[in-house]
Amino acid sequence: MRQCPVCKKEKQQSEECCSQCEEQQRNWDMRYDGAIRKSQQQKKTIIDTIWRFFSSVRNGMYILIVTLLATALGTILPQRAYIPPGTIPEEFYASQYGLFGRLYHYFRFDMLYSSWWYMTLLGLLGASILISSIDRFFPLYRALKKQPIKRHVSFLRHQKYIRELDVQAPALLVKEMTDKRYRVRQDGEDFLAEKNRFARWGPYVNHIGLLFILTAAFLRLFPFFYQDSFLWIRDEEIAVVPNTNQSLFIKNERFLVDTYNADDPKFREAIKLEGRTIPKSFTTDISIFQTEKHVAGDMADLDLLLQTQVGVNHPVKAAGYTIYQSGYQLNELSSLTFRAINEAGQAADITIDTKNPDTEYQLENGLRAVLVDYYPDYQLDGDKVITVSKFPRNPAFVLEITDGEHTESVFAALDEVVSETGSNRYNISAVDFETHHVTGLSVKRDRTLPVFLLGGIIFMIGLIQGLYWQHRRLWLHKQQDGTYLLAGHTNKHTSSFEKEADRMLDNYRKGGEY
Amino acid sequence: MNSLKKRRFLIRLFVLTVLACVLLTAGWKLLNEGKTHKLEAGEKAPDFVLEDIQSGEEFKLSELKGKGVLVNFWATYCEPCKQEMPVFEEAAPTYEKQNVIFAAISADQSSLVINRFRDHYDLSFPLLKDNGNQVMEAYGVDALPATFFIRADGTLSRTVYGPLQTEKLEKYLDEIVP
Repeated sequence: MRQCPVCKKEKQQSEECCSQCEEQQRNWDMRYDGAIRKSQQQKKTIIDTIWRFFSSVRNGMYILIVTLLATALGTILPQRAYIPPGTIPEEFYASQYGLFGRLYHYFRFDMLYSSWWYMTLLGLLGASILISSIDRFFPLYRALKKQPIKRHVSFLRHQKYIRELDVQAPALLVKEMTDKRYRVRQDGEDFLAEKNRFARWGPYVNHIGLLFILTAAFLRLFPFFYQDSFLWIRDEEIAVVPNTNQSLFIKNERFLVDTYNADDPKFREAIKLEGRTIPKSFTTDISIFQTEKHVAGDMADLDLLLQTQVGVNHPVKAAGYTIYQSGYQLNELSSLTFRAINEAGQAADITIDTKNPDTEYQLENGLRAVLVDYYPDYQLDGDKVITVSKFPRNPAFVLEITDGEHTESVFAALDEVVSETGSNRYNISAVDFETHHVTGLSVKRDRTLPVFLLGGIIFMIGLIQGLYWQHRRLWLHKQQDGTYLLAGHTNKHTSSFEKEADRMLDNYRKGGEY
Repeated sequence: MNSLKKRRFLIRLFVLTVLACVLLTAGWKLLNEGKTHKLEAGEKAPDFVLEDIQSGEEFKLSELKGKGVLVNFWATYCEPCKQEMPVFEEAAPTYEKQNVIFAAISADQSSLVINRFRDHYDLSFPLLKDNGNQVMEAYGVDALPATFFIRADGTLSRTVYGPLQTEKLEKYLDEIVP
């Protein structure tokens, strides 16, 4: 048994060298003009090990494939940001998509694009793109910048395109080359013709574009570049936009919703199927206020910036933010009217405002009511009445009603009136109510879009640069016997390059006639 | 040759360090995503002006320079807040003598609800009603209760997001006595 002199593996006796190594020896690895990438040399420190890992295209591909699979996974079910506002994610995924939805939520795939591991993948991808580019760009740049015109014969003989020529007038051949827009340089009696070297930088330009896109994704984590807040604003109320340093306020002047008519035979079936009224359009008349040096709680220092209307698909731009209409809540109660009948049988109404109720009410029939307690959103907790929020979604009042002699204490809500003495002497009942709406606005600022756009443009430039041009080189070397050796190399589309070179030789032989 | 190797090592170290920093920053940002900006001890307490429910007078934080202030965010429908109120009521008169003002800012919409609550718990310190959650936003409060201990110079001595450990109240209050 003998050893192959190249790979040191044992080989069959019949061969001089194993076929793979022979192939390698015949054709040089021309990617970096035969130079070895620095990271592929013997590793030394932990830094070098990490560097080598990221400089490997194979590892880069693995990272890319995993990233793509993860990205695809996030599109199977809607992300949490896109489920209907106000729903509880856990219930939404379980009820809409069953066990799969439950698991999807459990593994946090509903927030996949902002998960730490997805960000890590993007980070690794960025590291791979950056490091493998650095690792390849500089040796290639150096090799091409400093390339000699005279090359060793063995270098030329290892090229794929080789022609032995008998050239009497090299100047004419050079002219053929310059006609084909080759840049020809001369050193002694040797020539180097080269064109479209810039095509070699295509992949690197392309990677710079990708890095811009990843940088934009990174910048989205900073409030200066990206902000997204959601506001519920009741009719005629002002809300501060969160995280604006108390500089932006929005007032809901009026929320309007238009629903499809349930009596219209065209829609009747569909509305019945849906089981609820279906909105046709909804808009909010808003006033936008801007302030500087606002003292929290003070309403007097707000300056009106803009009065406008925001509707679905018709966002409003103001103060560097974009305001979208993106939800609503209907029918919070703004007031309730109760009717009380006195001893003489005369009825009179009390209207109680739910936002700022008065404590005492004088009725037209001589009765007097005192509001003892108020539960904006009442619920029974055992035998105790509690309020679960401050919003008048289900208001209840404790009223003491008197005609001067008899005082009656009642617990009064829209759906029931309970007399604490059990007699309900004044026959109190709810007779009317008024409602107001709540608009849901989404206020966004995204300053990363120009960075994404720039990245995309650079990406495309790199792609075009690398795909539509090829770097072509021809070496013309005068050998000792006076004949010439023509060797050629291109980084892609070998056959069209060889055709071009052969045609130039033909033309030369024909004496420049076509 | 040796200096070239050294330079290459330094360049690699630099690039990898930058990448690691970017990744760590992203991770840290992600951990805090969705949370409102929280105030920290040492920061200046945001100024606010609200109406005192009982007296109808303006209550402005910046006018209380020279006094320690305890600011508590609460609501009548918040259970842990209800437990803190009697503790505050017990401490308030003692500390008022030492120039520490208590102010409880309610998230409730209706003054009546707050007044009934005051009667029920027999509270004597100022109760304020927040104006469209503005002060809550300024203090980064997204869950009730929250308590802030403000020194006489207007800086925060302590910020407590969530229920207060009531046995520590006196210790925290002593820190803001001018």
